[in-house]
Amino acid sequence: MVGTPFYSRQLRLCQSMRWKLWSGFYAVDSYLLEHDLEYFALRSAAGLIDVSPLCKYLVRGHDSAALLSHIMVRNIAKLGVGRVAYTCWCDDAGKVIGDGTVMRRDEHEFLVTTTDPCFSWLCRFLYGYSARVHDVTDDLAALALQGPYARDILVSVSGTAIGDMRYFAARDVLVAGRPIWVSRTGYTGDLGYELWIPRADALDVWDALLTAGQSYALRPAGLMALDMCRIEAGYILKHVEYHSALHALIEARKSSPYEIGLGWTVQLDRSPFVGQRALQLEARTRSPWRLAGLDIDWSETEALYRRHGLPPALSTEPWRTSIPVYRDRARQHQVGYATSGTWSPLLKKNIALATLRTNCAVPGTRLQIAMQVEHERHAVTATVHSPRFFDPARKTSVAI
Amino acid sequence: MSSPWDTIVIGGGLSGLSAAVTLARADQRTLLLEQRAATGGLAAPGRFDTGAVAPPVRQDNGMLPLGLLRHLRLAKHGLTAKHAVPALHVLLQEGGCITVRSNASQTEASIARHHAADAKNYRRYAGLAQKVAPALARLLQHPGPANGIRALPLILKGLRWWKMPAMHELLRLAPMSAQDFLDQWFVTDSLKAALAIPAFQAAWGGPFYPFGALHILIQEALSSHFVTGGMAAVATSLERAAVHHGVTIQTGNRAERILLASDGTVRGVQLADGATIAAPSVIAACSPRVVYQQLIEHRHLDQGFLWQARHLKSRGTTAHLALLLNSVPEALAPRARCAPGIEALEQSFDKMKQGEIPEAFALEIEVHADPPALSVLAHFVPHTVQGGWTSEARRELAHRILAPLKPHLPGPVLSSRLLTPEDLELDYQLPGGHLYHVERSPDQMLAQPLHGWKPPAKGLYLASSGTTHGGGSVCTSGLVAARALLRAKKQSRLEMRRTRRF
Amino acid sequence: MSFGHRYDVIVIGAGHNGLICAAYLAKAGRRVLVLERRHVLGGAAVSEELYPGFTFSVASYVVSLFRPHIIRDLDLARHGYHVIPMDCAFQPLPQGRGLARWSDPDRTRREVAHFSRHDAEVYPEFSLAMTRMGLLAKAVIDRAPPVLGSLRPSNVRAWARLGRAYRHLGPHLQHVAQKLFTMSAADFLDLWFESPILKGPLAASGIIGTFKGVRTPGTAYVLLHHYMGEIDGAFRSWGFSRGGTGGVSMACARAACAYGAEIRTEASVSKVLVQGGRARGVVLDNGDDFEAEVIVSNLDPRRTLEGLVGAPHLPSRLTEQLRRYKYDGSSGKVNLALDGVPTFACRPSVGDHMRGDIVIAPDVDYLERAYDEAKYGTWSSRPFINAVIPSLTDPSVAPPGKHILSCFVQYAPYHLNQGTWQEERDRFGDAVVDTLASYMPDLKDRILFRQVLTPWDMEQQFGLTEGNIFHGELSLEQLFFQRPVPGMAHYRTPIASLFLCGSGTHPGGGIMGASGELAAKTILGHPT
Repeated sequence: MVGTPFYSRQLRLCQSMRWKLWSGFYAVDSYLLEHDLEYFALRSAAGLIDVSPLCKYLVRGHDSAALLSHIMVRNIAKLGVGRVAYTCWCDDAGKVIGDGTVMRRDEHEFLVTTTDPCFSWLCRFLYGYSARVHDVTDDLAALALQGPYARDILVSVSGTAIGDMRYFAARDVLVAGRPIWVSRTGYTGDLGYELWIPRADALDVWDALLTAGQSYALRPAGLMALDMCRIEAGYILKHVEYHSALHALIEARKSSPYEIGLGWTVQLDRSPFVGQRALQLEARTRSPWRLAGLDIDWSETEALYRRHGLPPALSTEPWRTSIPVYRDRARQHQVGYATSGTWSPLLKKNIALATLRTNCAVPGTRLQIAMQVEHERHAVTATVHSPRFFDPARKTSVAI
Repeated sequence: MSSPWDTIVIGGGLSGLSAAVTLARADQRTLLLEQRAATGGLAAPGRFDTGAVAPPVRQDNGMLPLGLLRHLRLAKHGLTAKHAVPALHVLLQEGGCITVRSNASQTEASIARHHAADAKNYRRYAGLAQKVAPALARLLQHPGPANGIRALPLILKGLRWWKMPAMHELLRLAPMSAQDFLDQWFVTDSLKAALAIPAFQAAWGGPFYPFGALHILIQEALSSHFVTGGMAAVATSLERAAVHHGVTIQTGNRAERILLASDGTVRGVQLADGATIAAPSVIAACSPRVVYQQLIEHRHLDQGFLWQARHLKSRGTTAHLALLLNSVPEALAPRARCAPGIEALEQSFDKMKQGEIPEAFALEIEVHADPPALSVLAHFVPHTVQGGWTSEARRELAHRILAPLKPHLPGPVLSSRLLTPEDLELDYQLPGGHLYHVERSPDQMLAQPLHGWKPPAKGLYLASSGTTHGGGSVCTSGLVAARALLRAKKQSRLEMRRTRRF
Repeated sequence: MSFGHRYDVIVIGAGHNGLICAAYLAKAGRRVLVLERRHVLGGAAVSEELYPGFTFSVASYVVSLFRPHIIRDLDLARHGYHVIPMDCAFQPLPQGRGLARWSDPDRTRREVAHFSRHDAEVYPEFSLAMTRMGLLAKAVIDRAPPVLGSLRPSNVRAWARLGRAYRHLGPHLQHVAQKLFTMSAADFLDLWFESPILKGPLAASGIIGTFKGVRTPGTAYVLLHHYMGEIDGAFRSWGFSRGGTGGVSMACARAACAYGAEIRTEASVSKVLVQGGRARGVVLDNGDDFEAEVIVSNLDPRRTLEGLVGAPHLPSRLTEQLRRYKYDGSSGKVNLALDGVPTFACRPSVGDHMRGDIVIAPDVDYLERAYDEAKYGTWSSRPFINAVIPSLTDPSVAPPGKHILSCFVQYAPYHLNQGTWQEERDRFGDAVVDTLASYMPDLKDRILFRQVLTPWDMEQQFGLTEGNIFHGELSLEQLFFQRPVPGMAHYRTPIASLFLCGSGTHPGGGIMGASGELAAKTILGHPT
């Protein structure tokens, strides 16, 4: 196990000693003893998250656009230079293997980023294409600068006017005199940027950002705060909301893009891509599952606790264990399962992401989610909601 | 899309020709593309430096499926078959020779001159081959997989096998190595080695390698029909039949790509010069590796399928040496085998594995009369030798192959033509240089069409030695593919008529 | 004829299978007597103090496939079954490199990526496919095999069950299954991996105990064994038995005794008495005789039928089949007592990489060369070695600060083409130590004691015919409904009331215990 390029800084900052393993890297779960301070930094000022363990691949060559269009469900050939696309990729049966972003650096160069290694999957399609895949995971450090003040911090540290940078755009920027790549992307559902930094410059950029960020209450944030944000924003996580088709032991654990809320990334009518036939078929019929948000009824929860003479005491930490969801209070008819959830301090709601039978996934439907209070199992009403609980205008707006 | 052709056959080997004739007889407008200058593939005769006709690489192993070919009426086009198995001389290492004939008691007498116990056991050995022959023939020459109602007879047949002791015996024997299998009967080392040869032809492995017994049994059981004039005669008569039935043959014309529409249906064929020929169906009678690795665009194929196709094994270990002589060597006619012994052969195999030229080889010899010539297949020749196939290496190889034959030749060798596995790969478009296109290892024999191993493109059929019905049983795969194509056409015609009616 | 003593069942041989069989039978209320030739129990799964203070797992050295349901059925944990898991498989390489594979997938990926990035990522996919295959194999090894040709309902049901398990795989994995059961280990691994270095130790697990090379067809399915543990729900089934592998046998013996079985050591059976086609009892070397309804033999098929029963009582066809039954022992064992931990040149620290499996199989060609040498009847001068240092995890086997290095070595063919094993034994041991010393330079200085077990020694000491550790080659024609020979696959013999329960019956191989259990169930008439 190894640390990321920021390990030496993190070691000093991580007061809680709460670390976690991410793709074989040590990653900070929360720097502070109370992780929700980091969450509030992300939501009200800005947070800096080390996302270096993301797998990063450079695809280069004349046919790189055609190659990626063949692999991804989205037509990457149409992606403009300096743009980023969020997409997923499937196997022959149209089941998702991974999801991530593709950044078009120039006509013949793309940066693919994803949470899990996919080098060998990308390489499997190289035959007949003039393109090469380079694994730059260890060469590029990555930071996510997220929050309402992210733009101001980035402007002050780079001295560049990036106010006009549109959502899912990318460009080269100088930070602390070091050339880095910046994309206006993120995993918090807020205004934010991701910074792709050559390994050697990583610490300089980190220091420059934290120095400049002092005026904006910038805090380094850990994965727990990030997890709360992504659940509020309705972003899925591999291994939690879905399993890669390459690593699923049984068919039932595989999901199609339509079932995990990525149907919008699938562009069907174009040259062949992996899984096209199966996805065309599925697009015509109805997928059995849907991703949805659940708003877990607070007053019922409170009543349950009251019955035991307790004040409502939910954990402030996000959770990611599978919890059954029923149609009825007697817990006889299961219609799905919640995969992750959190108490949202900003929205004042107890929310969850869930995979539900398609007919139950209509917003407004009232379902029952299992809940354990003081050693007893109960059911609490949960109302189906769009997964996008938190979606501020500033996420996509441009500053003039 | 209108096209002058109903079907394009890629590859004019025996499989391609039989497919083309079958189609043309059913009034299909058929175009046959052959990249070499003449049709016949491995069965086409070659040329010596002197200009004389050289025997083809493919030898007659007696497994031509005459029953299946009967409706092509090849007799009308000059093919005559003998239903007797011609004598096979086994040259013994310690001098002398055993002649194996279809008449078991004659063979027994011939073996008895060298080893009494072996002679007695030969009868049991031959009896075993006869006992398992029907089971094997059914397994290998069945015209193809069946679904639905057509599977019923197969299931009934399956139940019959279930009760058949020969089938149980086959299951026990098949996984054995050539050595273990033959040790059950024989003591004479070079007799064992000679009988083991079919195993080396079929799959990558020495006499110690499992499943050798399977290939020996297949050869012993199915070898029954020999043709006058050898495989070249088969090629000639098939070509005549093709021309007679109106097949258009274009030689020297290489298919570069099989064109597919976006829904995966065959559109036609693109030639090496860039020209395209449209046709609604294509029979690819060439190596499956060529089809999957060169002819079809990968984006039209499933990943899981490609994974299999990418890993087709075809490690050729056979070289062909043709020798032009003064007169026919009677001691070898009509065919002979010569091998140094089981353990010595395994050592040759080890040498070959390391890319060296072994000292001794397992030789299969076929004698040709006009002009007097020998066709010799030598086993355990490396595909690429250390340092490459320089002229010295080739001379050395020819010399070592020839050494055990020298005493039996009536005069000097006038001219010779050597094809190493690498030459075979380049000359005949055989990736890996394997004569059966892909190794006949059990996994590759099983993995063919039975379980969706047919090309995933509509209108594309595979017909070559590399398919289930291929291997030593030449032509079968061509017939099977052509019939499958005709059946599919008939079905779609019926469906069209039905939809028109409603 | 009158007998000295009467029992319901006599088990000949107290190997782990014999003891398990006895325990199951005793549990079912039978009066059971177990007779063991040696002074210790366990057969080849035995711990012995060969050198003062050092307890060696003399022959079998790791516990891998022991069936978890046997542990539960016989309550073995209460009787002292204690297996410490191994976390790592370490492969030292020449030129100061090494490859360690860990239980943690990310850690393994990082290690493998030094050799091939592609392989590093494909490794979990391979493991997944093998786990799925393991589910199929589980359907095979946990039951008595169905036979061919019989239309008895139970038999047809058994085939149907297998058919269903196969169909359940889906087309892609069906291809994989076909390949797995027919291909060579090296070819099969080629389907996934490109690095010959990673393929080395993986392929090596396909040849353990067989006289075949990594490129010999039929070795691929043995790779499965490494993934079987995962699917039994018994995590990390690969491990060291505390106090040596004899600990497993002792737990079985204690369980058998607790259920009421009687065990006698130094009681060598010389003959099984057959009257009217039935086994009636046994006679010992010292002349004692015992009568029993049922005799179960833990010895291999040839030793049982030709040795104890005698050819006159057997059908001639069976004698012929037994003659053809292949043993071809191919492995040896070198046990070393060390006065300190040896260090690897490539990873000098005493770390967790030394606490697991240590595999000397630098690449596929190395293994194939070892086989090429051996197949003509000489031992491999550069052999494949699977070594463990159990004392690093289990301090009970050696004095403080001292260690045991236990090496399984291949190939050492039973039939040498020149000389005898008595003459070759020491030279063979030297070759093994030399090979190890090229990776552990300080090894030779630390050796206090050395024991070399050749196939010949194993035959003498443990009664393993031709030194085959599995009681007969695990080749396709000797497996499943053909193990040991067609028509005898149900633990029965042509002699009524004489049964087999050794590794020479289905499923055979390794410290699995399944043969003993299934034989007991057959005798009891329980459905298997």
